[in-house]
Amino acid sequence: MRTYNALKQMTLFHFRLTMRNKIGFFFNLVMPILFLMVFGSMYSGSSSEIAIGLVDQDGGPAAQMVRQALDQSGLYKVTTGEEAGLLKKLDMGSLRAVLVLPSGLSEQMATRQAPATVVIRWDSVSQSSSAARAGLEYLLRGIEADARGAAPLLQVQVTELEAGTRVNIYDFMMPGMLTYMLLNAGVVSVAISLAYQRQTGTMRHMFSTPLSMRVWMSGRVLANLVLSLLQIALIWAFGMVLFDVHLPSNPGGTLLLLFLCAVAGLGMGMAIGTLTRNADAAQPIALVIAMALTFLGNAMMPLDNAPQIVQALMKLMPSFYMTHALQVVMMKGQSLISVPFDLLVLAATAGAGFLLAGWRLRKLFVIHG
Amino acid sequence: MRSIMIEAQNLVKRYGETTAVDGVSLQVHAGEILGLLGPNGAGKTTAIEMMEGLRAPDSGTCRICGFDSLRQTGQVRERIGIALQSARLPEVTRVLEVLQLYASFYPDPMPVGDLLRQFNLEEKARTYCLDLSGGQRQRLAIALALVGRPEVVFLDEPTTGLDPQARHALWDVILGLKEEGRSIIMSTHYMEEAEKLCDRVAVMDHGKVLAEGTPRELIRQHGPEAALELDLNGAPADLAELSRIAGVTGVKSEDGLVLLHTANSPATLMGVAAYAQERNLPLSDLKTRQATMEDVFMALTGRRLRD
Repeated sequence: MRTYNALKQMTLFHFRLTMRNKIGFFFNLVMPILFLMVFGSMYSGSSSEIAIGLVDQDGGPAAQMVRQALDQSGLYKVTTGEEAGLLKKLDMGSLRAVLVLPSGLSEQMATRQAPATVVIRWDSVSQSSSAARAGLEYLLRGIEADARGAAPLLQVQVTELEAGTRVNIYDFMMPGMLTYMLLNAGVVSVAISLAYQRQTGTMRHMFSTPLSMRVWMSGRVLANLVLSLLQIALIWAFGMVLFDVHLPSNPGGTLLLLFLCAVAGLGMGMAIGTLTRNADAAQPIALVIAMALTFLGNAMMPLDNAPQIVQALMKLMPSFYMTHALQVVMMKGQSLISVPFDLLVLAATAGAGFLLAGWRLRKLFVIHG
Repeated sequence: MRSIMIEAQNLVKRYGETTAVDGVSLQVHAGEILGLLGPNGAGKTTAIEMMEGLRAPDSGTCRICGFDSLRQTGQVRERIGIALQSARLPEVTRVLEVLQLYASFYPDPMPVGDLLRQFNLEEKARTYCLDLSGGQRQRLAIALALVGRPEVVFLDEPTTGLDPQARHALWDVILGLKEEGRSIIMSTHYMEEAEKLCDRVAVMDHGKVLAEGTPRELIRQHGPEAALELDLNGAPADLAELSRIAGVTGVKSEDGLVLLHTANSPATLMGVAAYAQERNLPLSDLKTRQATMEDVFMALTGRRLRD
């Protein structure tokens, strides 16, 4: 009964400290939602279609065929108009490419006197424009082959990796956001708070009582799990209401995995908070580590094309395994046993962090139990 | 015969070349207040922390209520209450919350409401520790030290930094604890505090206990019969000449005041009057008083306590 009461009070103590820290509150609960909005709008837009302009100076059957192919692809949102006006829109970024079908195109294609020329205008400073150009080139080659009556040599079948449910851009972002959020709460908030409690003597005072290390540490873990539950509920609620995010395919497994991620982040934060000299030293160290974990852990942005050295570094980040496990369990709905290595890395991270923190605290204070 | 609640034997603590505590041995009996009196850096806090079991000594032992303070931490910590030097309270935690938290660590804690009443903190129950005044913080720190119904209470410079009013209010609290039968060991560098509160005083300097006894015993054994304080109104004092006046056992000059320790007050008074007359010095203020712990400290160390 006494241990239960002490554990409850210790959990409340840690939780209140976290929630009453205004900066911590912002970074733990508000920032992830802002990230979701900002990154989501960066990568999505209101439609998944690519906006292009079409200048139809031909008006014949060839132009008709191109229009039809563009419509059938389902990839393009086509705006027709005069070349000058559309080029202005391309320059402003509201169109990704402008396709010009010159007058006499149909006649030229029908007589086959010489190869007919169509013009794709694109913006070389825009990655999206480059992608639009490549797509249009591919589409036009298909039309050209059809017109020649040549049979295709290769057929491409497009199949998505199996996901438990239909996903949108925000669903794709959820594992990264959750990883960022849990890491921030564990690594940054806990490290700074712990170093500050050490520095001001609060911990020394507390450990001068019969408080045991076991109760103190369990309270810390429980407080972070409560916080992570709040974070998860909040980001999902916002995601579902504002961005049509779907519930995870494997809710139970996802929650357990998220708790493990939170505990791994907490372990790292406790190690930083106890090993650094004081709060001033803990803050930059925790921030740098959290940023490395976030950005090199494949959490905030995919680094598939990063140089080899970066890819090797990524594999050293526990967050890399967090993101991967979340993608598998949360988005594809697979069970936890399908990601044993990820779980092992996370558990080892948590264990190593707690051991280091416990060892350091026993060096700093004479602790009972 | 009252039982021994704290028994420290030959405690030694070194930091590199410096010996912070050098063979301190002390006993505190049930219902007694023992004061450790000494200037900053005398080793009081280190000695107290070794007795509490918060700091491991290089040698020596301490037993609290019969338990080894380092090896039997569980038993010891359930029997002691500690108010560390300048209260270390979690800033954004409310008074009520921090009392509830500490109460949860003990097997039979005092009701938190009683503590709030006893320490006049009821109105501050919902206030963050950060927003408490110095006196309120110290009262809360002592309330936290008492929440586990301790038999032994350690108070490390409990009134440092407080204004006189808050200090006197805290003295009443400490005397109240003694009346409840608790054993208290407290450190202080205020001699008035030591005289007022402590049954016995151990004078410490450079990590050693120089003398120990009741304030009256210490004054009788180590202090002068009386002390004279004279204000020469800014005129320079010839301390060598003053030390040769009949009865004078010690001389100290500070802030324009000259302090003379004497074993013969009338003879010294006559000598001082003659000294002033010969030099045509304005004796704007001349006081004689009984010796105090301050004088004891000066007699033992050659320095004043606040030096």
